Amino acid sequence: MTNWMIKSEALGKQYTLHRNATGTSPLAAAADGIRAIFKGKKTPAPAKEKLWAVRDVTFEISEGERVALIGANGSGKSTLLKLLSRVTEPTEGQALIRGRVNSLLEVGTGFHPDLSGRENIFLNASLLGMSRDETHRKFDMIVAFAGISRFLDEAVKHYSSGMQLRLAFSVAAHVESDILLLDEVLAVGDLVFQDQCQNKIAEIADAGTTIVFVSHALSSVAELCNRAMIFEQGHIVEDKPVKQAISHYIERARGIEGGCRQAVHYGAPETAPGNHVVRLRSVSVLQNNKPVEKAVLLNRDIEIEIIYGNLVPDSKLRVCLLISDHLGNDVFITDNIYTAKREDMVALSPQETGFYRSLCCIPAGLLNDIKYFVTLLIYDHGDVRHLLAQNVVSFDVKDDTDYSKHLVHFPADYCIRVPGTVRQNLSWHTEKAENL
Amino acid sequence: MNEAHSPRPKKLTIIKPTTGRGILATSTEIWPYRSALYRMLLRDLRARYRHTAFGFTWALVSPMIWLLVYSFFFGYLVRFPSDGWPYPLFAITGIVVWTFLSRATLEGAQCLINNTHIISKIYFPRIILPLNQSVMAFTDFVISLALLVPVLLYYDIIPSARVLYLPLILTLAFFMALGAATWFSALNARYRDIGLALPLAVQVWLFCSPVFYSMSIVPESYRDYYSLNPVVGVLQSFRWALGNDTFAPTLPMMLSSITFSLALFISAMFYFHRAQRRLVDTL
Repeated sequence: MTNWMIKSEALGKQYTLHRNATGTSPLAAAADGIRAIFKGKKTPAPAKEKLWAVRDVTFEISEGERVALIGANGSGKSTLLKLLSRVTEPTEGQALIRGRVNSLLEVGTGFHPDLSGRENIFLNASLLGMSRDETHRKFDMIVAFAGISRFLDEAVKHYSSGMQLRLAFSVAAHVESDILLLDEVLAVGDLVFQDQCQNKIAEIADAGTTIVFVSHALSSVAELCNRAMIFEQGHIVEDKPVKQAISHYIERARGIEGGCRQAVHYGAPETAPGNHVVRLRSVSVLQNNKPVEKAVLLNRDIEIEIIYGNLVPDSKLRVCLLISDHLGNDVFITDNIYTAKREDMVALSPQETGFYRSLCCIPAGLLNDIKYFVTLLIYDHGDVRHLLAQNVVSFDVKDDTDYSKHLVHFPADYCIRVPGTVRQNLSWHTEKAENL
Repeated sequence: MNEAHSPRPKKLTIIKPTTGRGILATSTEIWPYRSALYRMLLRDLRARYRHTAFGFTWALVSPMIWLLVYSFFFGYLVRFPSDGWPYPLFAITGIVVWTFLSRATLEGAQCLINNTHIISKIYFPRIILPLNQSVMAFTDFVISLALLVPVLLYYDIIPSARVLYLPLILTLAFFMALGAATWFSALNARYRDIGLALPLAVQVWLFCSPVFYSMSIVPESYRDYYSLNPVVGVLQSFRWALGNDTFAPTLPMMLSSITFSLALFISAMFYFHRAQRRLVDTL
């Protein structure tokens, strides 16, 4: 690729962890020395601990790409954005940037509380590198987007935090730039504003601006970006198309990298999830009454078997399953009280102590051919939660249908995979409409 | 709104660890950000005088109060010598210059700390902040010069053509103030001790400078050493330009002031350039 916009070469940033604010400075050392003389004893020099927030980060981003940085808190995503926006300086390596950079690192950028919204717009725009003419030209748009026209001449300190936020985002979003760096801008603000932001970012992206985006909101990442880099302890561990990267990220975070955990058995009851009322013994994904080894098949029923021990006589336990997809979206929740055909009689009545086995059947053709995660919850009828096992098992659904034998294929627009978190065949009726 | 993508040459920015050089780059970077400097100046001036009943006249209030206090205690009660001028005139010339230098230094020292919220979020040449603070103190200084006019008129003193030297003297004072503001802003960001020690140091310095007393009370044998205090040159040349010949600036006095200002300013640029790399990490 020669049309890169950002090119990072072995970029690294090291921080020194201070015991106190001036820990390593010569002045502080001198002060320590003086203190030591007065106390008559030598204070041991504080251990200087170094931390590489970002290290060996090498990548290229080409024009018009929309790249998400994902990873756990403290993995170096925000530090990288700070380096690219030149807010802080790298310790080693270098990055080359082509064109004008605009960044929105956490919202609330540098407003002066005593100045009016109007004055702050001009100040903020000038700091972001917008010229006077450009600001004048965009002024109405900025105000309209932020929706603060009534309060334009009020001091910003009288704004609600939401209004300040809208204004900050609005100014930054209207700066003409080649590269836009965004850090967690969607994490704050109300729903309407989040949608507004997301649309605006999409609009900026469509205009060809290169975007680097840090967010924990994986669904908006999936929607806005076409590529994602996963950060772990300051390194880029994966750099992939966005959906692939997100599902890998989720797998990594849940420790089932590259595969699934279709069954889990707890040997020792003390370490099993649960409490004095209920203990989990096992959860397994079954198909055709057999434990699943590789993937479950799309066109057969899937059963999830939960075996748990009831430790208190006459408790009424209610078993719930929450199914979520490979992008972390909840797909559905189901329990053994509100069931499909007839009531689960055991769940409705008081239960003796002992082991119980609950079986939940997910009908064939409901799920799509992606990875699903199962979270188990057990409540009593008083809505007290006794057990929570997050993402306790997971399974891949595989579509082994031989479509060549079918009359009609899926449309080519479905790409490689059929999109969607579920794929239910629904009832349809099409007829020729007369008399219209 | 996407005229941003009309073909125009794209500036290449290289982000890498600061080396000793590049100080020139730091200084030349200010120009593209001139409107940011202007806006920031406007922001601080407005923010300072907003919600105040007297607005900009506050720039005059502080020197006026000191003028009254000094004139009463040192002029009327103690009867300090005042180089042949009426004491109030002597005092006000000292006060406006001293107020400028001390304010630029003290407020300059806080300017990085007070703008942490901007520094940690947007990139812009950080030098703009101490520069802004110095220009702001200078603006107040120029406003306070208006105080001199009624006092001069009252005592029937018409300055000679020497008054034309004033711009040069003000420039000298400005670079001294800018140098101090830049140095102490960067130092204070790293060692907060500076912010605590500085007001004390500034007060001590006031007593070492001919602000409210005349140089004539300094024993003659010490006067040459005394003149090495760079503030002496600024104060005395300022008074000389307004027509006071008693302790006209001497060559060593002025050399000390000019050398000090230049050295302070240049070393400040170097130090600031080095310090700004770890600014965000220490603030």
